[in-house]
Amino acid sequence: MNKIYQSRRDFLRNLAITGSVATLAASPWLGAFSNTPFKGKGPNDKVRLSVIGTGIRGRQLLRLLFTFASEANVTVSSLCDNFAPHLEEALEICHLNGVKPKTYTDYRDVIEKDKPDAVLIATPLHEHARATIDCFSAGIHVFCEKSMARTLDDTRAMYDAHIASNRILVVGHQRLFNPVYLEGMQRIHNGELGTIGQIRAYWHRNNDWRRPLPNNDMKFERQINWRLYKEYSAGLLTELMSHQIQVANWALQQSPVSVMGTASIRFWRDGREVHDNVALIYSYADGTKCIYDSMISNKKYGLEEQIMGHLGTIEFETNRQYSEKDESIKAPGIQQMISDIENKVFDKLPIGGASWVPEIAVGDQGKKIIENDQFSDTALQLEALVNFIRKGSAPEKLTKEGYNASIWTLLGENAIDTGQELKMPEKYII
Amino acid sequence: MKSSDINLFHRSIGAMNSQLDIVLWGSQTSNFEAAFQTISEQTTHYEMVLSRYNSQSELYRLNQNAYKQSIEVSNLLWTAINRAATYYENTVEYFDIAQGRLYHKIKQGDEDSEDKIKHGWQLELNSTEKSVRFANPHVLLDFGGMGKGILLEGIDNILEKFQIQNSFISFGGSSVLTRGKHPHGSFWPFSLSGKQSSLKTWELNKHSISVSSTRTNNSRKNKHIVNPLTGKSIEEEITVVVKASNPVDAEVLSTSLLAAPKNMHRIILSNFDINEVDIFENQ
Repeated sequence: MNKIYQSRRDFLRNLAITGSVATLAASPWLGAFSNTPFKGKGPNDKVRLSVIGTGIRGRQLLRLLFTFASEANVTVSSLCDNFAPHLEEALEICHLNGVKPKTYTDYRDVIEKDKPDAVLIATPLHEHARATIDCFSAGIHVFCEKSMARTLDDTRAMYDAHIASNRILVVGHQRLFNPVYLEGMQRIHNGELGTIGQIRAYWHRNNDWRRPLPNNDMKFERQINWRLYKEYSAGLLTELMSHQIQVANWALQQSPVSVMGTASIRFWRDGREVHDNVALIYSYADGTKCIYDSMISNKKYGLEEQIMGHLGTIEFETNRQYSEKDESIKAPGIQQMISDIENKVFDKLPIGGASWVPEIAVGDQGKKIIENDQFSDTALQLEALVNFIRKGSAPEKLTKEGYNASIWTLLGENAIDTGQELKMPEKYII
Repeated sequence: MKSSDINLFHRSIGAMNSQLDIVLWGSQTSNFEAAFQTISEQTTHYEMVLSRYNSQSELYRLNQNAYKQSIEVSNLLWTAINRAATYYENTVEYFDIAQGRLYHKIKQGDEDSEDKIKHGWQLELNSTEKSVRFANPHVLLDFGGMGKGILLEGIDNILEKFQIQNSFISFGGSSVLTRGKHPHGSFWPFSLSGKQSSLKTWELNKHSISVSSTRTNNSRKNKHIVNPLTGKSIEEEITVVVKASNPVDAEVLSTSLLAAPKNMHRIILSNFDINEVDIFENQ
């Protein structure tokens, strides 16, 4: 069963109801969400998208596209994958939605034969750069899943090609379009949490992070489980952490100045090359630290970004804001007094005592950042993408968010590999 | 009086590493929320001036820099420091805000702090410039022994301004300010908590009460009261309760009587105008 998400229109209406319209104004890229209908309803105005890489993520993008494709006058003109089962599954999704895209096994055919307005690249990480740069050369806009590329040089080359071609490059950091984050970031930037001292972020799972191979045939191992091999991926860093570094940078409105890290293969010693246990510290110029860890042999703490200021804390993934001022715990004696008064009892108030309190964790249970959180941030990002394509440009800040997150993710990998605290080399600064 | 006629108002906020409970009742209900908001804002402001733990506070910056150079301070901080100077004299040096570093060391378990004590008032105050300079690098100002009283004094002014007639304001049960009376009696009846509740009931109208004890709610941290003249923590289990008309007087006195030896109590008390003092030992 398809999950029902709020559309862009519902999202805007809810923002108006909850009084969070200021959020729109505070996030320049949300101009794409301006409350105007999609323009260009004619066949010639249809935005043509191609999905390159139809694995799990590519197919998820496809499903979300179809939740608003009709209203937005968008179609999927082609699909591309060199793994036939994935391509067939993606084609089936299109057929269920009444769309018959062309199919290719080489992305260069997408560029030369289909010539879409934009591509959604959801291939393995190491293939992002080549496809992206070739698309830009052909004048095609690109939505590229995070992280941007496998190497620092490829990441820079993608950014340079985006600038040189004047084509849109949106990186798949969907939290940039997530209403919880938008509202929370607004509060952080307005100073509601006070001075941010530390960001703690983590992503914990308890599984081997493997995908099943067709007929358990090992010849597909590196193609299907590319995330486990350093040639294709930096593992937990590029596939998970990059999202959270982007969130940390966004919250602090700056990029780090250095990173140090350590990692190991602690539990899943099954021939994989990437670490299953990582810990990094990112330092920012103002002294703030982002302390990051990820592991895949315990899931008790799950996934979170904790933005910690001297006045409060925001935990984005669980949609909660906490105050350092504990307003939830009532002194028992005071509660007794209130109860006595309401019951017309006049009795002594046994509350006196030394009130020194140890520095224990604040007991505040927190409040939701926004009430209605039934939406898909990826769908909202894709809707925005379509509007960017019609307009012919996207806010550069969006691209820079993705670029800096990708660069600092890979620098984190280098820091782990070298055992050194690393700064960003001059040539990667944009 | 019917319960529905009481118009009871209760809010809590965190302040001074404690909980501030604000209980109001009476006919001025339209003023309750506004009074609370004003109290809340003033509390935040006072903490930003007087907290020694908050790196953004004025006191924190003063503590960082006032040994190196003379620092001009705000009216609030200037007034607080000058009052502390008066209390230093009136308590025969048993109340000394400048010994924050010593208090901290004792709390951390450093029993060998006697040699670090600097006797005499360690602050150079310039009343023309309203500036402060520390006489030695060991000085660390700590308003822990009077900060809640200052806050309560400020709250009393707010309640007066908003014409709140009946109130019970409590800082975690250790510093209390009352106005008027309990809805069902002619005073607010106050007692100690736990096993000490049967010791006495204090009758409060327009009063302040301060409770200081060598015992805390954390047995590992028993040694948190220090004799500033000897640098030794107070080992005995003592609770001091001071009822006064002024909350700062009450708080300073309850702390000082805990820190000072018994033979100094009469001298210290002679410098204060207070209602009742009770000292409980080994309870």
